[in-house]
Amino acid sequence: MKKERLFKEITLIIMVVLVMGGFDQCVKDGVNVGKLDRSFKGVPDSTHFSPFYDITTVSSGDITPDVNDKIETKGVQSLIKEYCGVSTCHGGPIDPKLSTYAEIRKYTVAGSPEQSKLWNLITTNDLDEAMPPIHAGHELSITDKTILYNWIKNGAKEIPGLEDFRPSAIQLISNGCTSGNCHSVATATGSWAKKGLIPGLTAADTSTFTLIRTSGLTYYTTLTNTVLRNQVWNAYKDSVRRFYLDTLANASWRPYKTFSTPVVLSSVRGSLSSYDDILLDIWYPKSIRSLGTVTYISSDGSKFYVRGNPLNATSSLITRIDSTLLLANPATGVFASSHQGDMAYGDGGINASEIALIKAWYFTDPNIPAVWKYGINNAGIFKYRKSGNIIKSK
Amino acid sequence: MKKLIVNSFILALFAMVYFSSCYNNKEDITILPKVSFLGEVVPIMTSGGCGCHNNAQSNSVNNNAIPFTHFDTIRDGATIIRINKTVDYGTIIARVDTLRQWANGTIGHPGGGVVTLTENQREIIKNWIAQGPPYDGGGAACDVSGSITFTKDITPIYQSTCRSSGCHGGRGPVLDYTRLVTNKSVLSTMMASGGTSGHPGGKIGLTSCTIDKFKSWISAGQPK
Repeated sequence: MKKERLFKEITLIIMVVLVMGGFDQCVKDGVNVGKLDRSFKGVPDSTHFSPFYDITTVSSGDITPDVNDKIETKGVQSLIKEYCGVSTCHGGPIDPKLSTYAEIRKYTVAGSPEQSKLWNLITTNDLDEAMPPIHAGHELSITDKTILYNWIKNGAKEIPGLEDFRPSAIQLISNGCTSGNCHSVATATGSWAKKGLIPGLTAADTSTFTLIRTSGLTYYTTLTNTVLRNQVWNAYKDSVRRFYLDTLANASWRPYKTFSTPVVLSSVRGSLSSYDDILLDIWYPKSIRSLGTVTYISSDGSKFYVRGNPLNATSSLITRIDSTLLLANPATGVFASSHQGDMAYGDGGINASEIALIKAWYFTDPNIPAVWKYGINNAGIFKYRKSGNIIKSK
Repeated sequence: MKKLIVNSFILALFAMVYFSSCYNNKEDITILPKVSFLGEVVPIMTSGGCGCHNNAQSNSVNNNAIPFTHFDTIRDGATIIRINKTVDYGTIIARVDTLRQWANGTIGHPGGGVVTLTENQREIIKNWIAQGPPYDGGGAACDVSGSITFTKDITPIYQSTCRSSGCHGGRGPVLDYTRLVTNKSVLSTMMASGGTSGHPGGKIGLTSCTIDKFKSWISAGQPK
């Protein structure tokens, strides 16, 4: 009897020790692990292009993709391979296998990272659940988490679409082209201010900054009065659109109607600060938005300096950055003999993959009219210099 | 006897719980993850959004931006068709304080204009700076102790730094083991200058870790 009681007590003690030990097992008492925070530190950022595969070929690209026809970036597949798919883990003996689109897609809920097992295991702070296991010391970087988040949020698709291309392309253009002295609203309106086209300005409304050229100093003016700047730019955009929608009915809205001084071509550099500005520049390219001579005088005597046909243009956003293409004037169908893609390397610094991304957006965005993609009646306005192939609607 | 069996069974059950509980994730981690300079910060500074800093004419003709990249002009016949960027890491590192202020919102884009960082980019820069900032990224410190080999050390650098469609392995030659051994003197010149001279494709920027690893590898006789 005594023996049995002793046995019971020993059993109880062992059980208590094991339970405590079990809890102890689960407590991460390491020096580093206590500081580990696996949650997503960044902010969902749809401007970071996040496809499934590393290479996305632009669907409008040449039959044999030219240098500016492939978007090369880190995709979800290679990201998962890097963190999960090593030969000793999910790329080897451990299930589930995480290699193909179907295998990875299975652990996601399209449109909802928060409901996706893959996302939750990667970002959880329950270190017993954490994947990759924390002792592997291979946590996803902020950028990699962003890629995974975006991909799931945008539908966890195998092939990216407009919703993937557009935010990244607009970010590239609006940030890259507006910096400093170039396609910003401040500079676009400032060049008019400098030429005296906006009456009533005071020195406080503008500022100048110097740009060192080999030939000396060049001054650019920015219109720093934000209220005036936006007022002028929005009125300008509105007037351009109305002019081309219905010239007669909206004559009072013709471009530059408030300006008495003749407009010269150098003052028409457009802003590319927003999606709306970029669309304006595509629909009504710089070369047709203004002219050095008067084309129309209204009944109140206002002078207008505008070309009549918005398609009679000799430059386009795409050919200004993609030197593999030649542009045809959409109105005449005549192709230029040389490229004009120097914005990618002369004034800017856009690489081949970024050019491809912008092209991928351009040809899938329904807000860009077909005539500015493929010309009148699909005659084609973009021709590959190397192959001579013309981009046409499929 | 019956009690003994029940007790033993319960004991065994507890033992199983003990030995299986949290077993896989028990170990401490050796190092906390860090923001990678090369992998996360540099892409922000050299993406198309930073057009002026990648400008073929930075600091000279069309703008007064500090160049963050060098460029190689690729010609197609008589026409320039594109550039490849090689990053001048030191120029970015030297502007940590400016970047901190910009990421924190205390200043706007130092060069004017309406250039903005996305929230995510701010977080990356803030975290990176708060961590040191680590120079070579990837978390681990640059380790040149022990044997540096082509397979273990040089190949990853090649893959991440030199290889792209516009550079080595694309328009430029593939840098395999034989080629690197044959061109030992070219490598030595490059490493001695930090990439500013010797590189047959033009001036490039290399991190101190890359330089140290290559130097150690060359002095050890370029083991495979």
